[in-house]
Amino acid sequence: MIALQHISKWYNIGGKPNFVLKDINLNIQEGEFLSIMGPSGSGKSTLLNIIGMLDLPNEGRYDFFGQSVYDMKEKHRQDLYKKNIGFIFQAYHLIDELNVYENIETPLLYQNVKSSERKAMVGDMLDRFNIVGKKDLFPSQLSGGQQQLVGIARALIAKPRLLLADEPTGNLNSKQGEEIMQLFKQLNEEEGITIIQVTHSEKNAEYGSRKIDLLDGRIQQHIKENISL
Amino acid sequence: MLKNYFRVALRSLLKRKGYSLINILGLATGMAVCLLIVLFVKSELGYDRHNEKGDSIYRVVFDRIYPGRSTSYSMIPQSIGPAIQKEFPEVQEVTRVFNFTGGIGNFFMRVGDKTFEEKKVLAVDSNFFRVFTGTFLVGNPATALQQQNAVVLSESAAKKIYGSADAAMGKQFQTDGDGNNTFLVTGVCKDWPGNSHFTFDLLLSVSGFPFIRQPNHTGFAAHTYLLLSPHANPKALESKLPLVVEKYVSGAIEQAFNQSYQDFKKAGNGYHYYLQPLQKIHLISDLEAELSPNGSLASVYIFGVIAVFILFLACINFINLSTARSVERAKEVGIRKTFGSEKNALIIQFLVESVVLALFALLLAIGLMFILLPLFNQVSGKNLTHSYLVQPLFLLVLVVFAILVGVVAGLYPAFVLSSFQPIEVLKGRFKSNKKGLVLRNGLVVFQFAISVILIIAAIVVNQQMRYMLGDRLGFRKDHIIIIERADLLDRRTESFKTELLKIPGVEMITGTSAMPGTQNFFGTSWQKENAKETLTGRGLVVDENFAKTLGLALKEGRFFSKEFGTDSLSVVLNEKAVQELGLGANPVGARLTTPDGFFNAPDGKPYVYTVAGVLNDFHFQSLHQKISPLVITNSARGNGANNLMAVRVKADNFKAAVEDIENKWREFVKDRPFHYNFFDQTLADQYLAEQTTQKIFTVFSSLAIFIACIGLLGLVAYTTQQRTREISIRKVLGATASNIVNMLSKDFLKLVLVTSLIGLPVAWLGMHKWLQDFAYRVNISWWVFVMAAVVAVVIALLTISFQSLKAAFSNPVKNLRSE
Repeated sequence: MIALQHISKWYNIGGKPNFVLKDINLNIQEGEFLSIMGPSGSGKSTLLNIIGMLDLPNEGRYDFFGQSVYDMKEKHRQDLYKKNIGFIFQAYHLIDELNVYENIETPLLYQNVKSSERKAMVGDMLDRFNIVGKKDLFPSQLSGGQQQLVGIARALIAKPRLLLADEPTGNLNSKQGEEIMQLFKQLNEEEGITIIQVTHSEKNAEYGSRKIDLLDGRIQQHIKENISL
Repeated sequence: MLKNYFRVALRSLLKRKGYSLINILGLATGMAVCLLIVLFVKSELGYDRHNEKGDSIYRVVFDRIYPGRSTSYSMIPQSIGPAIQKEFPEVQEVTRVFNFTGGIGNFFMRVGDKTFEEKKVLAVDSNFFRVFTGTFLVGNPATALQQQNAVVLSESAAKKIYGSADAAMGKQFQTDGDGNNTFLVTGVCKDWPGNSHFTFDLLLSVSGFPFIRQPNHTGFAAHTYLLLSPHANPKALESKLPLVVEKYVSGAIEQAFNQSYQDFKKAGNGYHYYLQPLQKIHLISDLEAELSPNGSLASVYIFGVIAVFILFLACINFINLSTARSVERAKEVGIRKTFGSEKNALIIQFLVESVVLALFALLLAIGLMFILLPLFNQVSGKNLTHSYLVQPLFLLVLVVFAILVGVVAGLYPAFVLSSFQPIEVLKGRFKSNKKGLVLRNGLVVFQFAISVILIIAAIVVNQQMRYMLGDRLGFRKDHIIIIERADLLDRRTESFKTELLKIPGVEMITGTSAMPGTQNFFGTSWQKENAKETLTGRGLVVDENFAKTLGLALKEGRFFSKEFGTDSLSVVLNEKAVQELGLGANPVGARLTTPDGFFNAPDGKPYVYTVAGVLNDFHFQSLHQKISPLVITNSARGNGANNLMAVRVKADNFKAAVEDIENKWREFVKDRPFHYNFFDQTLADQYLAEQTTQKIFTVFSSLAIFIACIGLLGLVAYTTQQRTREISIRKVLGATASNIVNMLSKDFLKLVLVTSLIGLPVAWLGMHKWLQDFAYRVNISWWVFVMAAVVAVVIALLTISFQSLKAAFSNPVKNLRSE
């Protein structure tokens, strides 16, 4: 599904390149649940953003379903992105001016889904996450866990095949965090959604099917939980 | 999608109430001013439009060319109009309008035992309503003016005099005066529209006046209007007008001036006739003897420029505040982009938001407009009404206008906001860029520069006005009442004066033909006895108390006095006249003659006048003009009566004395009302245009400052917010509140100072040019600039302190925790 080859990213500080990512090679199959780990500043989020097409590397090649992302036209890439990728953030990043319903609806607006269809889709999602009663509330009226639930619902609304999560439980207490992780596992196993998460927590990483460690912009080791696969 | 945009826009505005309020208020102020000015311009451009054939109506006017100068008149000799019609077939109708009450004065109607004084009386040809369009309530426009004694009343005059239009129809009334003095009401016409270059309450048929039957090609009194056939070419007609002069006027000139027309022309005399399109008269025409004061294209332009400017300033604020708030909105942009929004969609979203805001501003602006309209009418001297505002079409135009403003003001912020990179803002790595800051500072500098310029303009105009009405005039102006039509007292003038002097508080009385500030100083020419060169100057006829009553300073000799029996042949000159007559160092006793018949014996033999004294120059004309030579003669030569009587009253008895004087007038002059003016007011009225300018600058400088302050407030709020963390850390490290205020204010004050420096030269140039219009003017002193800069800085400081104090006294722990 995803193939990164020789991905490097650096900033020039005082004329010298300061590498955030250095020669990353990574293949991710559809249906994987990958955890990216590493200390602060190791390049985890940058790598996630590059995979999510929000950021560009200085060097390297990125194939998404066999198509070279960097050779595509902007329009094409946008379409690919809109249809296939959902994002979840540590700070939830809900839009404060929109209520729960409207926040979840937002991605559909940008995909020109018809109004009646949107209604049905958002309704399903609210049902599924048991937040029908909260659909008219605004983010500031929700707890962190509830906000992240909305964030996940929003990420899933457009039926993406790839879910990217940047420290999704970082702002939550451990119980809420566990629930979110359970949900991820369920999404991955039952619906076959590919998930890539960035996390600090060993425990969260255990939910995944694979783990990579980043240090100073390099991948340290590949751990396969199920080596027999 | 659009619904979603509107929803977000509304919520976003409501969420930041303070910000929205400032923004809406600023924009609404700008819009309100702009709309008022649009109303004004619309009204100015809409003069005389009610006439159905307005496109084909032209007024004939002319330049009377004298040797070395020329004067342009809005009225022409009465026989020229008919001559034009006779010569040129493309002229369908010629109609003439005589301003009956304009120069000559009053028109008194006796209806039963009541007397009405009418001020707007015109005498017109019977075809008046074939050229102009009037709506008759009763009577027939085609025939109403055919009878010699016919009168058409305006609706309001009919109501005032007879109670209703129907009651007025067919009634007769008498007037004073020569000739036919019984009139018959033959029609009542709806009030003439206010936006017309003339108006009337009574329209008399001119055919009843004997003068109209006399051919007259040289004396001018007829405002003459031509109705051209639809395909006539006015330019071509204009070029043929000299033929009329050659054919009809030359004979009359030879008779009147006793020289051949060729010699008359050779001496530098002439008539240049030309046409003015009816609908442009109000805007372009400023000639002698206009039927009412006209507007000017210049003021339409000035107001238009101001409207665009104020709106521009308000839009700048909008841009400023919106971009300043970009940090807050950045997160939303980041999220939306992450979830698939394209840049265009975001641009549209922000535009919708600014349009919504502009629509709110429009609502507020309409409210403001209602409140400001009376003030605006005062400033512009117009009488605009709300009726324009409630027309559906106009409201639609307003909405379109608001949408346009919203788009124009929202475009730049929309581009800025929509171009944020999502990962930057979502990671909190976002910082407002330097370029944006420079732009915003630049915009605020620009606003303050304009404010400083307007403040300086307001101060200088004020100074000049005070100068023009101050004590440098050379005479006293306070507590002097001018009684009009004092000539009606005739032989009882002296006994009236004696009676007035018995009133407590009345100090001194003088009779005069003119007072400073009025136009009644007649043209006159004098020469040294037996000399060839004549002096052309102004003339004044006064009694012996004139100099004392006005406090004029005598330079040499004496003023008129009853003790000198020969004073009827004395003259008093001003310094300028002495100089121009070349009377040298000892003017007193010099002998002068004049070709003016009025000053000579009835049989035409010249009298010789002796100079009795010389007055210091005083400003009897407006300060636009250099002081002219002035020759004052003694009214003792006639029956002692003068047009005007000036009464000087002690300050503390002023009000009561005016009443007593009025009562005395009633005793003496039974059938004429008491008309009077205050001298200081008469003087001020000379400068109506300048007073308007003064008001405009005062109002608009306040507005500009207000708008600039809103801009500054937004900018400071933004900066303070940006630096909250820094401020908190500084406080934790021991900074006092005053340190913080100082730190926050310094940059802005620097900005405002720079601004003032930019504004100063521009203001100096502008005001220097404005002052060139005055022969006597103030110097622009350095303190004006200092003061304007100080005003700007102080206002800016107050605005800044509002925010910076809040920041300085905030609790640092709270701010740092939230980081």
